[in-house]
Amino acid sequence: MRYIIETRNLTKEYGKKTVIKGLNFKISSGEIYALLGLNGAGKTTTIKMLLGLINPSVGQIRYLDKNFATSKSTVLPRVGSVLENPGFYDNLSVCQNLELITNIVGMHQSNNIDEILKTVGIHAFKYQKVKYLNASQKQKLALCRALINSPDILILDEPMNGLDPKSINEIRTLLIRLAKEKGVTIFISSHVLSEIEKMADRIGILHEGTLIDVIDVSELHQQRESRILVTVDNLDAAKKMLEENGFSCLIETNRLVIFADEHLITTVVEELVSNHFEVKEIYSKSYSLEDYFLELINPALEKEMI
Amino acid sequence: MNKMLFNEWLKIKHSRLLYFSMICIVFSPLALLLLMTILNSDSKYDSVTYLEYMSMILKFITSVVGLTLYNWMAAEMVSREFRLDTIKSQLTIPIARTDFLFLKLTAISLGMLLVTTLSFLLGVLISFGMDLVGLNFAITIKLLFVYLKSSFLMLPFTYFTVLLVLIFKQSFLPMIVNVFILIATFALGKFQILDVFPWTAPKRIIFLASGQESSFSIAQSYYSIIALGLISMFLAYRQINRMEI
Repeated sequence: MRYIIETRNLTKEYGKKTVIKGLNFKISSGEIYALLGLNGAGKTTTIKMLLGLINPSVGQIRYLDKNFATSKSTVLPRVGSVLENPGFYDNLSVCQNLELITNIVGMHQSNNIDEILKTVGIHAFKYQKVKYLNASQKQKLALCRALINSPDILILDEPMNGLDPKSINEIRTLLIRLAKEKGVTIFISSHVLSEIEKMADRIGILHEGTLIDVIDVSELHQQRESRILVTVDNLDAAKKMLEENGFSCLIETNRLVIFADEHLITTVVEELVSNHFEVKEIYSKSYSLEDYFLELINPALEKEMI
Repeated sequence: MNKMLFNEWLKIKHSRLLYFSMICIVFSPLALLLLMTILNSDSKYDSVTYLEYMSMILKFITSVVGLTLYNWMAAEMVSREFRLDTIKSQLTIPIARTDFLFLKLTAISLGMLLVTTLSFLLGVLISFGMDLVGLNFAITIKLLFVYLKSSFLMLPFTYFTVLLVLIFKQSFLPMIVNVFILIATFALGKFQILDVFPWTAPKRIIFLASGQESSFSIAQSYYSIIALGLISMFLAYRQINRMEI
């Protein structure tokens, strides 16, 4: 199978410190692949390597089966990117900042610029100098800059930074549409886990430079059960009783976590009440990407602390 | 290429430093005329020849503007890409790293050439209006070539400045280094070695080429400037290609 982006043993070392350790991933056409990780996990370093801003110490990046190191000039025009805290020429207008790109890539600039500005929702600011834009508008302009040459591949580092909820929703819809309708391959890193969960097809979890897991978002929802959280007077006894009745549970601080679907909530209440436990609070919680992420990251962090 | 050069001009369109440099160069003939009128008595003023007047303008352009403002402008053009963090978007368009430097220096050199020519034309017009002694077509053409050559001689220094900008990632320290070198050369006095020292060699080439005895030839003065430019260019390209951005 021909992958759009592929990394082979991608490694980055700064002196004796290895910040990216043998990263291997493959991304297919039209796929949205998200990279999650704590601050300092190596997301931005990975993205910079994917864009040729820094060179890998070891390993290889391949775009459309071509070695990126030897084909940057042919690959990069097909890639649109948004980097964390994107920079602009503040003294120029929104339109002029985009013209700097269209002048180089040789596009029919006026039509394209208008179209992109309308799509991303900042057409009203076309002639405004960038220094007068707010953070959200600047982030949208960065996205315009990434989309201006109709790329086949989008590489986005924290593209939701500084956006308001309405804009996040618009950008998410736009990115999903680009991937599903136009077959644009998207590599995205973000801290907004709930957003990633809504748009990504697959998620790679990066911890201290190592890809510790790759999950399929649809499988994540199917495989993982929801939880019922209960606060009762005697946690140990309640846990024992529920386990005897076939529930899987654990004690988390001052509450009981039962791994069961939402529809079993009445059964749990009935069992507890019939066994004379005082139920103070009970509610269900679906299993989210955030839960999965923390479950994966926390043991790794604890291990490091020990 | 044309559009890329246009981009470089678009980026600095509103730069106050650019306008200041341009005004300094273009209006230097007027400023010097005013200075002559204020400082000199009538008899001395009458004795200023066309050649002397045009030479004063050129001295001003090369020493005050060429080696300071022109360098500062080049330093600023590169360092602001780091300051604004726009270098990343430029390199991912993609613009090759060597082109990134080359375009900037070409754009600013063409600008320098244009304003030097404007300054020259204004000088000639003033000389014509004032009916200065020695004004004739043959000398004017010769002077035009000297002006253009002087403008080109400034280019190697910008590569040196840009190399420092790439090392320090800012424009202030490189300018300090440049000013320090200039002051140091003045402090050195009249050692013959200064004839081939890159920062003082242009002065010899432009103004003292004839009638000055030296153990160094004019060609050696040229070589020193070209060598500075080539070495700086090589190191600047190597530095930007190795940079982690």
